[in-house]
Formats: sequence, C-alpha cells, structure tokens
Amino acid sequence: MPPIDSDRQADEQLVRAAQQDAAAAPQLLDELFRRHQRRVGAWALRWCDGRTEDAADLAQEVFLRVQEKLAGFRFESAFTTWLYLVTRTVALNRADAARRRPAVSLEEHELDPEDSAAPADEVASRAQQVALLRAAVVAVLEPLEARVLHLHYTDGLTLPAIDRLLGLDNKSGAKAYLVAAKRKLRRHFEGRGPGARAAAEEEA
Amino acid sequence: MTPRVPPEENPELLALALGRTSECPPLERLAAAALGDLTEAERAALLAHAERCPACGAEVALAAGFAEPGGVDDAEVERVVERLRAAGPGAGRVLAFPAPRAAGARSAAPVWARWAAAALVVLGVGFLWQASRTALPPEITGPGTIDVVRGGEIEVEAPVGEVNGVPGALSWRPVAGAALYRVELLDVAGDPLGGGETVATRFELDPALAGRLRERARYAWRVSALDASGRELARSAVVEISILPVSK
Ligand SMILES: [Zn+2]
Repeated sequence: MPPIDSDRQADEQLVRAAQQDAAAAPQLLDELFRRHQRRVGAWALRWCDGRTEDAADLAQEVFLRVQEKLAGFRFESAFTTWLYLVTRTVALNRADAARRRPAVSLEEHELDPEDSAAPADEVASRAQQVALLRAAVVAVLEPLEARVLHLHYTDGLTLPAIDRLLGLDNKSGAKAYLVAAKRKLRRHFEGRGPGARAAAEEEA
Repeated sequence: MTPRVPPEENPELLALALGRTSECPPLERLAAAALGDLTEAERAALLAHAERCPACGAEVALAAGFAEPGGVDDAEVERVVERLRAAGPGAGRVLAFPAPRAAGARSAAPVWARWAAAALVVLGVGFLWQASRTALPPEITGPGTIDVVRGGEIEVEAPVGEVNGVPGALSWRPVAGAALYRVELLDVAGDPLGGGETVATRFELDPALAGRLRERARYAWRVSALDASGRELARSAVVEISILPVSK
C-alpha cells in the first residue's frame, strides 16, 4: 500500500474532476475507489475478525456512504482521513445496531430502562460510579489496558477483533489485558476500604 | 433488590467511564493525527492527550491501522476486494442517494445525485438501498468554528434549525464539572422520542432512534448536565430542528 502523503494529491485531483464532470464521474470514482479498496478491505477484515463475508459487506456500505457524501467533501483533510472517518462510522453503527438487541445485555444485573426517566437517586448513584471508575482507570491502568477496555465495552468489539485491530500478538491477546485490567481495578477498589467500595457499587 | 456488582464487572458503567469526555479533541483531529495529516506540533499535542485517554488512545490506534496493513492475511484482503469489484464498478455497486427525489428537483441536484440516480435504475440494488438507510452516520465536519445556540445554560452546537438529512449525532459545548450529560429527543408535540446519557459532549443517535426521524419533519432536542452526585448543573434550551430532504 503506497504511503498516504504521496497519494493525497492524486486523490484530490480525482475528486475535483468528478465533481466537475458528471459524465466522467463514474469512471473517475471507480479509479478513486480502486486506490482505496485494499485499505478499507483490510481494516474491515480486522474489524470483523477475519470474516470475509461481513468485511465485504461493511466495505461495500462504506463506499456507498462515500458516494452519497462525496459532494460535501471540502478538501479540509486528506481524502484518506475522511474515508477513514466514514469507515469508522459505518463500522460503529453496525456494531451498535447489533449490540442494542436486548438479548445481548447483561445477565446478572439490571440495566436502567431505555427511557431517560430513571429516578433521581439512581442517576446520582450512576454518575458518581462513572466518575469513580474513570478516575480508577486513569490511576491504575496501563494505556493499552484502558484502550482494550474501551474497545470492548464502549465500542462493543469482540476480543479477537481487538487483537487484530491493535495488532496484539502476545499469547492471549486482548483477553490478557482485559483480565489484568479488571484485577487492577478490583484491587484498587478493595484497597480503598468497604466504605469506598460501597459508594462505588449499586446502592439499590 | 439489585445484586451488588463491582464497578469493574459492570459493562454499562465501564462503557460510560471509558467513553469520550468533554476534554477530548474531535474525532476528525485524532484520525488526522494518526494518519499523518497534520503538522508535527498539532500531532504531538493530540497524541499526548491520546496517551492518557482510553477513548482517544483507542481512536488513534484504530485510525493508525487504516494506514498500516497487518493483522490480516493478504489473500483474505484480496478476497474482500474481489467481492467488491465483482459486485460492480467502483465501490462495488453504484447506488443512489437514500432519499427518492421529486422529478422536478433533478436538474438542480448535484453531479453525484444525477449520475448515481441514473445508475440505480440500471443496476437495481434495492436491498442495499434499504441496508444503507438503516444506519445513518453522523455528518463529518471539517475543522472550523461552529455556531452555538445560547439561551439555555448549555450552548448547543448542532443540529440546529434546518438540517440536510437525518442527523447522526447531537453536540453541545462542555459544562464545567459535568460528570454526565442526559440527552432527550422530542417530537413536534414535545413528547420524548428517545435519548440517553453520555460522558462526552456528543451523542450519537443509534440506528433505531435515527430511524424514527423523517425527512420534511420537525423535531426538538435538549441536553442537561449532571455533576458526579447526579445533581443537575445546567440545561440547554429546547432546540428545534427541521429535517430537509438529503438533496440540496
Ligand atoms: Zn480523550
């Protein structure tokens, strides 16, 4: 894959030419997309943990989105950066859609209801818990451990997909970082005594 | 009684605690830094933040992977690319804009709309058209100043007023001391359509919620800021938006 810098001008020329010439646009876009198919395909393959069908689906949707949005591309960033942001958005939206099924939610404790009408004391407790947990993450975790947790819990990625996306080649990959991170957090909360621990836990 | 779950074993709490905060730089800037699209000084400042922020660190790592292949087999990548190419020209399939447009509007449509609409007729890819409607990504904006709506205690950035197409996200200016923001989307009668909570100053509409919004319709939204004890610190005005069809 050629370096991004050397490709930037060529990409921009293609986009401008296509914006100015409707008749030639399909052919110009075809060339533009061919330049980036491997990049998008490889990233999609990592995101989908090597599943070719899913990766091709994702990549296809990315290029559809690019087509829809390209008229609004204002050359304020490199085309590759813009293309990455589209790719990331499509991938995250798909992950969100899959994750928001109730079946995937937690088995051992309750989530707040979907609506935002939770009682005030529950909200208070949760906001406090979030703040404490974030402080603990920053205080005791290595950056890579925190990133693995973010990708798994906030973005909803599977551990094998995280291995690929972060290029982890240690023996148990992301799982090892996840286990280590939880152990450190557990010790951190336990070390702060039962009072602190209770405050960080559900009060219901 | 809810059983006690330690915070480090609570996925919902972890998702919030590890999310983006009001101090995080925009995603566009992080991606640009990771992909070498900025000056050295700009990049260094962004990467310094990313080094100590779980969310931004992860963003930079994901974006960097876009420039550097690895973690996957070349032959597998080739199979994905072959499938893209086999499906048709360019992206795989040339596809129209998601919104069907009125016949009279066609001459005023941008270049893309004209050729893509024509291609739709030729290729007939209805199922993909459906698929592409289910998940609208947020608008990708470039750097630059953003207008805000004042009047409430929280200044609202976007969307405000007339917007092209269903917005992908809602954003506002940070409030000092806020631990959590609560967002609510309302219909024209002021009844809640949905919403949620975030530690960031941006709330991405999930496909289910975005799917309830229609073009040529009016909605409203508001956001309130809570401190770490759950007390409301501030709230925005109720901001009206009118969703215009995607074609300009
Ligand atoms: Zn950050």
